[in-house]
Amino acid sequence: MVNESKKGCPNHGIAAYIDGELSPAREIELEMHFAACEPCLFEVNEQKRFLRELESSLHYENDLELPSNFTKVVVANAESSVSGLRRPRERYYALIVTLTLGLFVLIAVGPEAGKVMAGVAHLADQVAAVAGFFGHLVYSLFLGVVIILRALALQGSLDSFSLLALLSIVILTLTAVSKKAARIRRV
Amino acid sequence: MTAVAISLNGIRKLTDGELIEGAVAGQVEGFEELVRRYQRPITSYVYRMLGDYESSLDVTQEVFIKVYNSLHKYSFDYKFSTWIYRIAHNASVDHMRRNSVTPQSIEVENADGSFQIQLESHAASPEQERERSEWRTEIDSVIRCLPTVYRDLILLRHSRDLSYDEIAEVTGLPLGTVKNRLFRAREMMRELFIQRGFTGI
Repeated sequence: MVNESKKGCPNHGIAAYIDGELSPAREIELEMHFAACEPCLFEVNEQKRFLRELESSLHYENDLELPSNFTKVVVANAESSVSGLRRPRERYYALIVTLTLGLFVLIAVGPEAGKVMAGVAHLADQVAAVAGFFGHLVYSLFLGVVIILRALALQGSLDSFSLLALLSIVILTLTAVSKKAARIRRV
Repeated sequence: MTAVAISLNGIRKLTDGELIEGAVAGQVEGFEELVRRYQRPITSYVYRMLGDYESSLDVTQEVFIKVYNSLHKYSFDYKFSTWIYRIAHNASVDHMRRNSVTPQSIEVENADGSFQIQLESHAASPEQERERSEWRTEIDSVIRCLPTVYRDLILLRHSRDLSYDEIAEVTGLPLGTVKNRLFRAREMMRELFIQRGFTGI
């Protein structure tokens, strides 16, 4: 039967005691309680018996049949997973093949190679220009904030409220810039 | 990283940590041995969580693919068994969420932190049932009736022999909650047995 324990009896403690999860001091304390409390002692024995039955049943796994080639299938599927572990040699071969193919393409396009390379250089220029613009924007913003902060500090009028207001303005501006950048990326 | 022998006879004697080092270094035999070691315990845990054999094989496979993809991030501060059970726990819970038709997944925690007993679902096939002993069948059946959170704790503790600390790590629950829920889960199991006419439990 499930124990109808008295007030003050260590209900949760019994489970932890049986599981061997208590400190030695707490264990001794409970054992002294069990020696004096018949319902608790009964409950300890009942729970032990129940857990013995439960664990002997749950540890029985022989009736769980796995497909005969399960290990091989799992390993093959894991290995074919694109983001999985890649052997260093495999990565090296992939790099060599990619470079070789790139070289072949350049040779194949022959006189047109100059145009292809010019296109790549043009793209790189555009990326650098956009990155430079945003870098300059952030730099100017922080420079402006530093100048304002220095001016306020020199006047002695920099209190916590104005500092908070300034920080809020900076955060809002940065959020607006990042949203604008995301929109440009989407376009 | 230490050099690891790859002979088939020697590989069975290696620790989990040595096998992981081998797998990260590109030895497929290391990962294969890890799969061989843990496939049955993980499938058993997932099967008892989900109650469906085919799904448990799929989820187990998913677990090992996640393990494979994350092996290079594995920290040797943790026990591998705790780590893999954490992945299996998350994969099982995700699977139940994705397939939210099972009654076990619709659970509401009571004000005192306990959970209601659920309706029974997912009976095993008749062939499987016949082959099992009456008691094992009854245990499995009662476990399937437990709310997922309780079933999970019972399986991790009494089937996989994890400590309270390890269970807290696997499930992400505070230690106190683990102790509390485990106690309630056992009480609920015993009540279910008594309801089914098994006295002296």
